[in-house]
Amino acid sequence: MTSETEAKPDSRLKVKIGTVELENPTILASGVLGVAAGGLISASNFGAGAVVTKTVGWKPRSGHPGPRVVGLHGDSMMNAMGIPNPGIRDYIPEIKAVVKQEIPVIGSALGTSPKEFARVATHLAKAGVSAVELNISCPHVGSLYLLGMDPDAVAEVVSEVVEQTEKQVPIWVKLPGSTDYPRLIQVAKAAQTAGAAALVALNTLPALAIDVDARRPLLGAGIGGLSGPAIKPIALRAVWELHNAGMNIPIIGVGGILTGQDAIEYLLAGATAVEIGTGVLTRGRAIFSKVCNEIGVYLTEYNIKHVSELTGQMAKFEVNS
Amino acid sequence: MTPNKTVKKNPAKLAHGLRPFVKPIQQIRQVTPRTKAFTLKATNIARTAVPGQFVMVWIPGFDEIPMSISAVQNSLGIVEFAAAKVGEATAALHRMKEGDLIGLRGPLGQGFKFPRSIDKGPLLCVAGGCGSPPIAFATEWAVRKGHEVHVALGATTRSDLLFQERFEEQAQKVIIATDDGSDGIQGTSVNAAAFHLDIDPRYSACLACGPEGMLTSLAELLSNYPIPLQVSLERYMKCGIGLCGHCIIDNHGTRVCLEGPVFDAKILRQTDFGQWKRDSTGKRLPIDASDESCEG
Repeated sequence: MTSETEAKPDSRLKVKIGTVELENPTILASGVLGVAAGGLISASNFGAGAVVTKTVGWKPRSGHPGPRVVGLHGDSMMNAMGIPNPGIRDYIPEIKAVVKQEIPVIGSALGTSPKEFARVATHLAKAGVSAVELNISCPHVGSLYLLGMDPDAVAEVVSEVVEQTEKQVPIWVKLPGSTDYPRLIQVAKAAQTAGAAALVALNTLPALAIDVDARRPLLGAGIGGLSGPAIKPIALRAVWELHNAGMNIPIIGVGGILTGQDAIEYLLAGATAVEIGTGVLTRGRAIFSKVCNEIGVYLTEYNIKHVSELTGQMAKFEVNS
Repeated sequence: MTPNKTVKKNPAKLAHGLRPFVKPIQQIRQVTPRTKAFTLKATNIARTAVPGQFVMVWIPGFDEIPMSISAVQNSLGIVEFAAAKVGEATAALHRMKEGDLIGLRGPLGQGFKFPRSIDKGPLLCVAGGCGSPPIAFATEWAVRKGHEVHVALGATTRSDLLFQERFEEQAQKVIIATDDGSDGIQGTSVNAAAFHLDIDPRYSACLACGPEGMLTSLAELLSNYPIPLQVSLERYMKCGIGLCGHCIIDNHGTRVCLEGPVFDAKILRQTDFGQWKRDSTGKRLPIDASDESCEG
C-alpha cells in the first residue's frame, strides 16, 4: 500500500446511521468481494467504514450462467450474477471471521417469503452483524425486483423480519433501481412504517446489453443490473426525493461513486453514508481510502467540522410543474 | 471544491477483459480422446497474452468459462485454448463446429514470470493432467527466449497425455509419467519431476500446472531444493475481473482471477492452497489430494 491508499483515521468522517456507528461514510456494497471473508476484510483494510456481505438466502443458489459481467463505456457495467450463495448456514463462518476482526458487517439477506427473509435475518443477527440489509430489489432475479416495487409486499417482509429479529439488529432496506420516484417513496414509506431503520438507494437498474455478432444478450441471464457512473444521476435523484419526502430516516446513497466529489453529491442530496461497488473495478480496492481522503480535503477547504454537516445541504429549489 | 482529478484506473490490465470479442472458431483439433483444442483470430489477445494468463470463453446460450491460453501465434493474431469435456458448458463447446461463434475476453490475470537470465540453469516445467495448456505455452515462450526447458508431463494413461508432441518438439528433455504405466514411468508428473531433479537439480525455476493435489506434492518435493516454484491455480471464477470475490483464497482478499492464477508457491502458504476450493454457490469444499479431475 502506498500513502495514497492507506486508510488514515479522520474523526471528522465518523458517521452514525441510526444506531450504527462507522469510522467513515464509505461502505462496500453487496455483491462485491463478498463471497469470502477475505474479500470483506480486504475492503475494510483498504478503508471501508463497513462492509455489506454477499446477499445470502436460506438455501444454496448457484446463480446464473455466464457471462455474468460486461463492461460498458465510461466505467459503467452490468452484471447478472444471480445471487450465488451457499445458503446462510454455510455462510455464517465467513461472517464470523469478519466480525471477529471488529469490522462492522452489514448482512445482506434474501428470501422467497417473508418468513424466509426473517429466518435468514435472524441467523445474520446471531452471527453478530451490525445491521441487516434486505435485498428486495435484485433486478436479475425477477421475483425479487417485483417484490421491491410493491409497497405492501415490502411492508410484509420488513415487519416479519423486524418482529422475528426482535429489534436486536437494525433493518436496512435496499430499494430497487428505478426512475419511478413516486413508487420508490411509497415503498420507502411502507418499509419505514414496518420498522426499517435505514434506506439504501438504489440497487442496480434492470437493463440490457446486446452483442451484434452473436445477436444475443451479452449476459447469460439476458437482463442484468446496470451499475456505475451511468446510474449516478438516477440514484442521486432518488436519494434527494427520499430525503424530501419528510420521512426522517437515514439514507445510504449508492450508484456510480468513484470519487470524493461523487460521495459529497450524495451527502448533499440527503445521504448519511454511501456504498461503493463498481468503483472497485475502476480505482481498485483502495477506492475507499481515496474517497475518504478526498472528502477530507473538501471538509478542510470549506472549513466544515464534520461530514454529517453536509447531509441534505444542497440549496432548495422548486421543481417546475 | 478542488476539481475532480482524472481518476486513475486500476493498474490491472482490464481493457480487453470487460467485454467479449465474438469470433468464429477457426480450427478445432481433437488432441486427446476427451480434449479438443480451439483456435480463433483475436489479435489483441494474441499480441498481449503471456503464458499462464487465461481468457473467459463465452459459449453463447450456455455459459462463460475460464480457459488457460495454450498457445498464441502473434504474427497471425491466433489464440488457442484446450478444453476437456467435463461439464455442460464444455460439452456444448465440444459440439461446436469450425466457423461457429464464440466470445473471448482477456487476456486476464497474471502469468508466469520467467528468469531474466538464461544462464542460471534450465527451467523445469511440470504439467499434470489437464494442466498442460499453460505449460505448453510457457515452454514454447521460454524456448523462444533461449531458455533450456525440461518437462515433466503426467496423465492417468497414455492417450490422455496432452500436448506430448509439442513438448517433445520444443523441450530439451521430457520425462513422461502415467498412473497406469502405459507410457513413461509409472506415477505422476511429480514423480517425473523428481526424476529430473535426481539427474541434476540445478534449475533456475519451476513452473507448474495441474490438479491441486499434484501441485501440493510438487511444492513439498521442491521444498528440499532452492528452486523457486510458480503454480497456476484453478478456482471457480464468475467475473474474471476481481469484482465478485468468488475466487478469493485467503484473508487478505487475494483473487485468483486478478492477482493469479499464477502464484509464487511461497505466497500460497497462508492461503486455501491444497485445502479448500469453492463450488458454484461459494461453499467451501475440501480438496481431495487424490482428485485428478479438471473442472470447467
